[in-house]
Amino acid sequence: MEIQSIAQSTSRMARPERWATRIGVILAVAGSAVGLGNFLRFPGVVVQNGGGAFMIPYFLALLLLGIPVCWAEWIMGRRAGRLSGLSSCPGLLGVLTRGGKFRYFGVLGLFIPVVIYMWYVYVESWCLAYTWFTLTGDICLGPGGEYTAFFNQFSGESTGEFFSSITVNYVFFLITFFLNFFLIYRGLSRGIEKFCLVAMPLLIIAAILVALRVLTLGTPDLSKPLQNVSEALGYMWNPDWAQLKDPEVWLAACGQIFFSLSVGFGIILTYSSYLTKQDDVVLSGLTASATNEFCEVCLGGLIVIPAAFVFLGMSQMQDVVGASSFSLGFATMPHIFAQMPAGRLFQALFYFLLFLAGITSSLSMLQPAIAFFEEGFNMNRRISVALLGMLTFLGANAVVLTPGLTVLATMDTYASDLGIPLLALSELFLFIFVVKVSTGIQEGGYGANMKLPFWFGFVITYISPVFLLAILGTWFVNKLRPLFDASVEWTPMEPLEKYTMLVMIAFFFFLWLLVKLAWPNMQRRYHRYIQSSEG
Amino acid sequence: MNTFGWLIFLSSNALVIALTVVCFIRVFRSSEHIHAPLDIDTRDMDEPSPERPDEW
Repeated sequence: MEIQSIAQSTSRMARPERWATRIGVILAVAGSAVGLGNFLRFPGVVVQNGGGAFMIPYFLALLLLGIPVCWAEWIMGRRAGRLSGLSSCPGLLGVLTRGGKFRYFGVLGLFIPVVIYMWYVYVESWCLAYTWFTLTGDICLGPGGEYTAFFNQFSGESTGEFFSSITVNYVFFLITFFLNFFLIYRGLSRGIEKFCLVAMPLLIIAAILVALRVLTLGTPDLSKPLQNVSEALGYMWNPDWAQLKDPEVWLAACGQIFFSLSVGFGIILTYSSYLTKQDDVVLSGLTASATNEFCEVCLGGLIVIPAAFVFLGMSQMQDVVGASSFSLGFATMPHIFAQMPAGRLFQALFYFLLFLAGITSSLSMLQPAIAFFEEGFNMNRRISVALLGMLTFLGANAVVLTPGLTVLATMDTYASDLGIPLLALSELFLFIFVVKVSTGIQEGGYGANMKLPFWFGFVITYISPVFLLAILGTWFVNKLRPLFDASVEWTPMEPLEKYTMLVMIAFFFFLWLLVKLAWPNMQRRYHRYIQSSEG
Repeated sequence: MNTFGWLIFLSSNALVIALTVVCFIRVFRSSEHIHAPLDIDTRDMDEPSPERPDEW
């Protein structure tokens, strides 16, 4: 009797601790999953791609590509990592193909996160700047605020009464850039993750309150009766079937899904390579994807797009996203906060929490390249971080110091919308033809807290590759149409866009060369790991 | 918003919320070993070890 009562009281004491651990797990997953892509990029991409029409390819891409490829990445990363002791994308792909040339596809797994980091850190710095401007009162929240002009002048799109140069912008960029590298240099990324256990629930609560305010805006300007919430929701959700014929819309939907789930970057491959056979990968991957989608569709989609439609109107909204898909959130959000009680406090809190969410994402983008320098050139972590810092500083400066947002938009389009689907496609082929789907499903079962669904094998073998190949193929045919169709003319590229493309291509081949040079070292590490495992 | 709009809006949000709730319930019911990327130990913060003797 006494033993039973002791056992019951121990169980009662242990339960709150267990619950706290579980909530901690969910918050950590949410903290890693939520980023600027959900609240800032997603609304801009929806507006750029025809509103309601975009949501159909978006959900198809989530179910047929995003979640299956996410699982495949977690599974392949853990398998290759525990069999080789390597963690960089070229090393992992090389090991999976037993030293095959496939390792060169791993160049994309370095190129994509590094290029995205170069502009992502800049957008992150805007969140910090907006927090500051709100606290100091530089953005005066009130009806008729010139928020679009304020943002355009701040980001260097134009000059005027608010900013005459991008000096202020550059200072915030420097602070953000060096803060990122300080955190990763001192190994504090896991520390910031712990901080986000508090910050992320706050961000989600703040976003729910803001979404509720947006949905109750009605028709704020009675002289423009068509700019109301109902029409705004219709803009986002009414499907325009004609838009579905445009391959750009489908590619953008895939790009957004991959971008926000961090799939096809090489990031998940690298992080999962550190896991052991006892660690779960199936439920971890799905929970991260689901939390991310909740923030993106249920919150991100219900805040910025309806608010932009109501306050800016359709034509001005499309002008704003013309510069960059990220602009909309900065030109629109202050309008909402101006309509809220304690709007200034809410705005400062919201942008600061977004800044933190951005930091967790940008820190994870640096790990694949750090792992590569460590493995390929025997550098220790601090030297790898310093070298990567110099490399990304050059690229990020090109984004910040060139006029307008052309460099940012070009990098985003080609690295996110094209590069990520290409790496995802090569990972799919690797999973199907090299790892083999049956082995992958068996591997996924180790340590799993959830079984892979019965349809996973079929979808990843037949549906995902065909779907992705069709989208990429149609996009390429459409781009190259002027070659075989005289009635179609080449779309002229801006000079800055052309130079950005050329520099990106040169950077890609520079990384290719590094992978070639690094391979013998990776092989040595691999053999040493095998010997120590056998020993 | 038209009928198709409402249909897509409600079904999309219901799908995402249901998926999130199911995942959270599974996390509460399951054992440890669930990870978020930044929560994973990258094992490279230590000083050079016998496994990595030639680092600089």
